[in-house]
Amino acid sequence: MKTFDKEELLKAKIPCDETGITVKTGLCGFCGDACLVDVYCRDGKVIKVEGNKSQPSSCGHVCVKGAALKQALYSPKRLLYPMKRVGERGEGKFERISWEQAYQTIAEKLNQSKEQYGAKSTLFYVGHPKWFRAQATDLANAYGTPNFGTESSTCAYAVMMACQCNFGRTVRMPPADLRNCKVLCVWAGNPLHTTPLTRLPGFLKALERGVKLIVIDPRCTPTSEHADIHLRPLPGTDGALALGMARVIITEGLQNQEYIDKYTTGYEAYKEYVMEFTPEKVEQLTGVPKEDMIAAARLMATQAPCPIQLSASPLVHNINGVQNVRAITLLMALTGSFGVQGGSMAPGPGRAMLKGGMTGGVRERVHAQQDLSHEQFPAWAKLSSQEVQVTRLADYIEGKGDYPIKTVLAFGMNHHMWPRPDRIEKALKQLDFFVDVDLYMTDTCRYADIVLPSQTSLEREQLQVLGMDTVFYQGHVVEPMGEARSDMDILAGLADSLGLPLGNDPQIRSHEDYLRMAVSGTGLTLEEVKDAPEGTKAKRTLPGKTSEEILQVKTPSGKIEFVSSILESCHKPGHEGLPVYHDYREQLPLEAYPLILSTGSRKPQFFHSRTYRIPWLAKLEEYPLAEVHPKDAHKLGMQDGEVVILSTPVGSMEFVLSENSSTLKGTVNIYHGAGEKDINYLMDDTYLDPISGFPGFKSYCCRLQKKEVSHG
Amino acid sequence: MARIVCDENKCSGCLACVVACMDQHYEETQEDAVSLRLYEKKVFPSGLVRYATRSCLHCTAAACMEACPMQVFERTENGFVVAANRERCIGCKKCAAACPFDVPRFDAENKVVKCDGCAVRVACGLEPACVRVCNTGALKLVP
Repeated sequence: MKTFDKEELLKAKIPCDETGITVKTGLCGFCGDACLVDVYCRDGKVIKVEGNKSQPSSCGHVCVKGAALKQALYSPKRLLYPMKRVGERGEGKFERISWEQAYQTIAEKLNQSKEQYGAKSTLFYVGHPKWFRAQATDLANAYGTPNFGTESSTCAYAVMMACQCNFGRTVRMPPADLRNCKVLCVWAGNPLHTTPLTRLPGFLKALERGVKLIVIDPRCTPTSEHADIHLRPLPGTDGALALGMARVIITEGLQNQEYIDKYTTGYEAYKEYVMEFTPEKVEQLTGVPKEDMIAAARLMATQAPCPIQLSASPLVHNINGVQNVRAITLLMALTGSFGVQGGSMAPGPGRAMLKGGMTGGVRERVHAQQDLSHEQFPAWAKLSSQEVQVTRLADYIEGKGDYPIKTVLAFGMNHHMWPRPDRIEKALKQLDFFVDVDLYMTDTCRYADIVLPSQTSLEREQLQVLGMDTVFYQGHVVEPMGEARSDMDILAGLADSLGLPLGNDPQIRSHEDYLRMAVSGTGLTLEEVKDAPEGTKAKRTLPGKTSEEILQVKTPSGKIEFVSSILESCHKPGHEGLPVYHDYREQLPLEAYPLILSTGSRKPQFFHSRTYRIPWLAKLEEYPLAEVHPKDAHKLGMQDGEVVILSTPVGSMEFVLSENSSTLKGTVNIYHGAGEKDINYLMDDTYLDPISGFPGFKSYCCRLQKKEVSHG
Repeated sequence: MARIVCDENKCSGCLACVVACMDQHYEETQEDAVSLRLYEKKVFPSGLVRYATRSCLHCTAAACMEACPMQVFERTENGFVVAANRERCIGCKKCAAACPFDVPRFDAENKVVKCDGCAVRVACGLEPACVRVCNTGALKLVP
């Protein structure tokens, strides 16, 4: 074999003694998940990233975003020091200060705000990342405000609410038993582009072993290419489609009556209601040919159990979203697919859990019934969230709630994720005091009085449970940039300056305290996991669950509820016990705005606003593109690449039109969050699901017009 | 000849291979990096529009090598055609004109950019960066 000189080896980034390149294992923190990555380092600097293969649970790859991790880490837009605002809000002029100065000012302002307006006028907020939410709630509790909120106000909580109405409080997003199912329904998801890579191999293996696949998605996607049946409902009509499928299953006697009798309640009322959804009516409402809908219903029921795999937010970005997801997931009750092997939420062994983590550590809040969304969204308060619904942030700051928000302490806030970021910008200018902790100088940071720099996943020590019970410790893969600190250290520092405790079981004074507490959930000590770079078997795991145990569901009735007693108890419009279908189009001025506007359907290279600042990702494709079907474009006399005017009832903006036959005719797809070109400027912030408070991002309305061409 | 092939039935068009190629070959400060791996939008019979990716076929009789007046290209021991003498490139684009597959690209300095098969990595027993990253197992190295 040819031997290479040092220069050649360095250029090819070959890890060896000669090049001094070493490979460290770390966790990518680009999105909500954390894939294990091999980080090529030289002289303390990351020079390349690859997927890790050393663990049975690691898939060996990184996604397109993870491949650009070093550019995210070393971005010139990283915040490196605490800074205070010296210009106008929004102007972006800041001056470096010390951490001590920052903590001292924040403590003074927060205490002053509490004295003057009461603790509840301060909002504590956590966006991305999410891992320290429980401890941020602890600080909010110690300070005395019930207004702790997160980005989950438009993410996965509405799906969880729907699942909890049906299947009880312990359910979040019921996972599909990919290993054992014979048929799988992916409803409004595109796992090939969006499933974290920790979970993608399970889906690929299911495809490989020939699982029957039903994909329900208005768009054509790489996932729908693998489907046996692909239904393409108009966005937001999924509830009608699910009720129509239920009618087919019941009229053909394909329901699992034994399961229904034993584990559910409300079936008779549900059965009566779904009879309204005849195939003809469903075809007219959804645009899905009735023969295809019937075929999908038959496949689902005859091959049951059939898990329905959901994504976090597409279905609930609709003003009937919670009810639609209830209708969809109740198909699993009808076919006996929930809580059984080969279905969803299947029985199996328990996993090891870190203590006080994002999912295991939801805290009760102080004075929760006084939070700003409590009256308007009672179901939100009764179900999973344990936080304030913050979609109406602008209203709350402007005093349109029961009392005004005067002070905001935020970690990773991105106001582009909500409708009408312009209204939020105006509101942020009115705050008495605003702190934002972030990795980068974001558009939101520009409105803050103080910005604090946090660390990426590679700069802080981390713990992660890999697979079922391997506890992995990641040390500092690289030294922190500038004076960036871990979010947990920042929380602890803030608590200290405020003279408040952070947590009480035990109290946390540093990131290391947090690690010690977290690892204790697995029965291991920090020293034990630090000594084992390949991971350590947990000494404690959660108990496994049998089918019977899972099916003792934690709803008020103790049964799977076709008629939700929690929603009924809210006594509010739209909160019917049955999964009622309300067609959002009745609320829209469709004559003037005839196209359905659907925003935010994932593209592999984007993660909300974050990756627009990563050149290699942002330059892959022009953005934002208004994607329309070629036939719609031609009808409007428009061409690929043309700049067109898109208008909604809120206003108008220019977008580049992209002819794309993946798009359903009659709809326009646009990815959100692109700074000044953010489509959310045109989303009505009163167009909300009355149950969850989620905006109708995936099914609003718009029209496209050609730009006036000046002659002469 | 060695080359990287793509199974179109498995590819999802996620472009991880394109960015992994840049991660392998460039510093993060090179914001205008030109990927050695190519991608184009492709319409499928179902209507699906997604990216399809490809790279140099490292042809046995490589037209780019023959066309280049500056002897920029060399064939490695493991069969890849690489721009070994890239500093000599004068940007005449004769290689691009000669290539039947429209592979050679040019950077901001007008110097040729093309797939090198990660030849050194392969010689050291590693996979090319694009194959290593491929999320769906669509990319394979044919030695």
